[in-house]
Parts: sequence; structure tokens; C-alpha cells
Amino acid sequence: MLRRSLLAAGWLLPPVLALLFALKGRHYDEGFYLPPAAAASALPVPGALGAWTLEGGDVLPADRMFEKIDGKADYYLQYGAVELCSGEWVADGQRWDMYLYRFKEAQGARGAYNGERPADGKPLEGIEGYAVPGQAAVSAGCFYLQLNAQTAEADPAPAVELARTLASLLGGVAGDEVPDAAVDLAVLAGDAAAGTEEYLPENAFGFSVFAGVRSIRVRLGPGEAVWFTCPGDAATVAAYAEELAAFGGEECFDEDGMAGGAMFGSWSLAGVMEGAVWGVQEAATRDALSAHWSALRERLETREESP
Amino acid sequence: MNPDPHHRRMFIRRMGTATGVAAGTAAIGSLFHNRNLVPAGEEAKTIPSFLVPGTEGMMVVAEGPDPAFAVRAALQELGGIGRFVKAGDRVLVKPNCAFDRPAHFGATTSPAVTGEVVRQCIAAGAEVRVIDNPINHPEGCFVKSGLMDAVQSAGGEVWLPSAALFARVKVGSLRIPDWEALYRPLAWANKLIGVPTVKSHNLSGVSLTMKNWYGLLGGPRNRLHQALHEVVADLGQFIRPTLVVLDGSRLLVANGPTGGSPSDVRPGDVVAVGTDQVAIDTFGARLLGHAPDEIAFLDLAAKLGLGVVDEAQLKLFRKVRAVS
Repeated sequence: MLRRSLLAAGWLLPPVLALLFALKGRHYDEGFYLPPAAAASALPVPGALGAWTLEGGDVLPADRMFEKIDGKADYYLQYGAVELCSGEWVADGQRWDMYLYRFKEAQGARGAYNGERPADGKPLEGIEGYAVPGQAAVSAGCFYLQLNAQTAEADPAPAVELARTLASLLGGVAGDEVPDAAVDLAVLAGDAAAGTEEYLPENAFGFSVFAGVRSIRVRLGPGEAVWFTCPGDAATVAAYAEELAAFGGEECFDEDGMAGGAMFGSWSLAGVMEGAVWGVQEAATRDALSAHWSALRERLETREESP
Repeated sequence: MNPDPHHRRMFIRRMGTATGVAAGTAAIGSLFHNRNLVPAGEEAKTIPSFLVPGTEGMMVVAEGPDPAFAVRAALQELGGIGRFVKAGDRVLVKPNCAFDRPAHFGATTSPAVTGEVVRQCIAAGAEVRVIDNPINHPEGCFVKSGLMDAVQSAGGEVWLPSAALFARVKVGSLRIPDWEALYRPLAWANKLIGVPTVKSHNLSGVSLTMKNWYGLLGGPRNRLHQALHEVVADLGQFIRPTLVVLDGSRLLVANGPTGGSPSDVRPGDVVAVGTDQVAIDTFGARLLGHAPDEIAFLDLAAKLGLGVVDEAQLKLFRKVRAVS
């Protein structure tokens, strides 16, 4: 009897294995065709804060941020984003979508925040943040937080209070952690400023030698260009000149301690002043480049002479 | 030694049976294993053109504060919806519903324009289904963007994507010869209307008509961003729509495609309706302040014969003021 049972089991085993094999083969990964569901991970914020509760919270690491913001992820990644935390804060019938980006460094968070900050954003007192109808945002430590309403007209006041609380949990006031620039570019550019100041932690303007760059877009008579400064010395400028030439820079020059040239129809240069690298990017012509460089030097010198 | 012939026959018979079972097992396994709905080796299917013969090279721009009225005015100038959609047609409408963001962020097509397109098609006697394969959870995107309500209240049906709807299809000649796409909805429809929004894009500069077809693709499509301009031109080859309704009622002028702040959205008060995707995308790029030569995919698409950058070369180009 036992022998027969064993024999029967032995004959049945191959078809069963074949069936399992076939069934496994019929499984398809829906995530291959559709947006995969984000895997839950540890959120850097609690699930409840006073009257607020966080619904649907999830965390996407840098290499999966496209699942939430495909086409836009590169923007945050260039500032060193390491994860995106999202969810919906709910209280008293209000719903605010949270987009919380964590960066490698506080400067990256500030850079991404500055790049998206709208001109009409009303500054928040005491923290680095702004509010517009339907939105509140802050840069806090290594985090950049956005709270977005469901309607355009929503009063941002409740979100501002929530953002303040979250900012205090996420590393305090951002301004404490971002080192002050030796020179305030916005002040330097003055009325000529055509864009807000940005921070580029690495590979600024596509050059590996430029890291920790502060930049601002400036409008002068010959056209717009970007003024920038970063830590470095004559060796940094020489390395930049080498990269420019290696990447196909044209009409390259190296004179009076500064180097530059044209690439893809855009002129740039860099030199050393006041113990740091200064330069101009994205000038449309050589003449515009010279005009911007002269203005930049003049304003730096004038600033030195100011009491 | 003379072995027992009975034992030998039994041995041969059992060996034969075992071999048969093993062969059957292998056959069943290989027959059913990896029979995905979209097997990688499946021959790519061809998507037919949805263009109505005789309607090539048309674009009408309608300016006005009421998006639905502007859509109606533009369609009227093109000869009416009946020129493109007939009673009994199965119309697939493809808005941009990429993100689960409220409509006022400008990352998705406005509910007013999408709803009016659906309403017009239904009034023409067609069955209308609306589809997109969003970046985020599909149902959440349709609900939060306001498109679910707009479509359903206009009498249409939202067709949420599922894996069963995909198959490998031929796309273009530059970067993606074939890819997984929403084949079954495309096979169901005999008319296709694109309803993109006008928005800036972090990688391609702008996201308009041709980029909107990205939402018909599945698979690891984020890889396509590596050569996005060529991919967008491929998408222009992939879909030859019956009609395109470019929603410029509001413009996402910065921080696209998701939008960073409600302040990035400006009133546009315009729609462009027509059949020439390149001309319409050129118009949309200009709305966002880009000259055509700043957007590489426009030139690529024009060189592929998908349309014209210069609106003067259109067979029909009109501007109307849509004020009720």
C-alpha cells in the first residue's frame, strides 16, 4: 500500500512541478507596464502632529523619484536629492499634499528651493520659507518642503503653521545651516538682477571643477548672463580652461589670470578675485561677456571701497 | 547470464513512460511559462492613422476667457466636430493626466477643455472613452486633477489602464522602434483626439501635443528621457490623431512638468485645435516664450514630415476671437 502511494506520488510530482512552473510563468510584473506602488519606508516626519494626520505617506529613494515626478526628478537630483517623501496632511476638512525632498547637504536643499521659489512668494518670518495662495514651502536643513492645497485660492495660513512645525522637526532653521556667502550676489547685482540667486553643489554649468557655486542671472545692456562665484584658486581656473578646451570650447583665451571661451554658442570665463573663483556664464557674445566681467569686477571693487 | 525477458520489457516500458512524462512536463512548462500579456519577443503591432482624409494641415486658434466656448468656436471654424467624428464612432480622448496634482498647478489638462471635447464628441453620436497612463496612481490622478468629474459629467467614461491593455507596438524611427503601449484601447478606437496642456518641461523645454503621447506608453519609460527630443519626434510618428485640442487656457510657464508653485501658472485664454501636431506644438512653444529653433523636437518632427513649423504653410490657419 505504501509502495503504491509512493509510486503515485512519484508519477504526480513532475506534472505538479510543470503546473507550478507554468503558473509562475504566467505571472507578469504589473509594475513594468504601470506606475509601481511606492514601497513604504521610514518617513522623516511623524504620522500625526496635533490635529493633523498624514495619510498615504511614502518614501522614494533617489533612483525611484521618477515614479512620482517623472520628468522633474533630474531637477532635484542635480542638487543632490536623496529621497522624496510624500503624503497628504489632513485636518478639519483641509487637505495639503506634502512633497518633502531630502538632500545630501543643506546647500542642495536651499538651491532647489531657491530655483522654484516664485517671485510673489511672501517670506515667512523667522524661517527660510514663503507662502502664496494654495501653497507654503520652506527650506529647513537638508530638507525642502512643499505643502500644496487642493484649490488655488486656499489660505496658506494653516499650511504655514504646519510647515513651521515640520521645519523645526527637520533640522531647525535652514539659515543656521547654510554658510553665509562672503558676498551677497543679489546685493552685488542690484537692479541688474534678472533672476534669483541659486546654489549649485557640484558640476555647475557642466564643469566638474565648479562645486559649491552661487550664481545669479544678471541683465545688462548687451544682454543677460550668469554671474557666479565658488571656492577655488588659479588651479581651479586652469582646470576649468582645460575642461572647456576638452569639451570642444572655441576661441579659448587665457589672459590676465582669467580663462574662457565659447561653447554651444554661449560665452563664459572664470578668474580669481578676493581669494575665490568668480566668473560669467551664458553670455551671448564675446562683447557681452566682457561687459559683464567688467561690471562684475567694478561692483566688487566698489563694494570693497564702501564703508 | 540470461536476464529475465519480462524484467527487461518492464524496464523498457517504465523507462519509456518516465521519458514520456518528462517530455510532457517540459512541453507543458515551456508552453505556458513566461506567457506574459506582453512577451518581449512578440511582434510589434502597428497603430493605424486616425486622421480623417482631407483634414490634413489644419489649425485654428481661438482666444477667449471661456475655455469651453473657445473649443466650440475653434471646432466650428474647422467645419464642426461632425467633420471629424461621426455617429457610432468610438473616440479615444487622451488628455494629459500625468500627475496627481490639482488642476490649478497646470501639470494636467484643464477639466473644462477636456470635458468640452468629450461633450462635443458625444453630441456627434460617438462613444467616448478617456485614457492616460499617468506617472502616479491612475485613479488618483484622474480624481485629483478634476478630470474624472469632468469626463463623467460630460457623459464619457474614464478607462483606467491595466496591464491587460498593453501590447508591444511600433513607435518611431529615431530612438524607439517599438515599445509597450496601451494597444487595446488604441485598437478599440477608430478616432483619437489628443488634449494636451501647455507646460514647460525640465528636460524637453516644453510638453505639448507630441509629448502627450508619452502617456500611452508603459514599461520603463523614464529611460526615454535620456534622448527626449528624438523620443518626442518618435511619438509624433507613433500617433497620427484625428484631432488635437491644445489647452492653453492656462500655461505652466516654469518648473514643469510637475509645476513648483501655483505662481508658475499664468492665464493663457487660448486653445489651438487642428490636425498638424508640429504646427500646434510650435504655437504652444511660442506661448511659453520659445522660438521654434529652441525646441529640437520641432525640427526633427518637421524633417520627418509630421507637419510644418511655419503656420503659413498650413492648408488652413485661422485665428478667431471666442467671446460669447
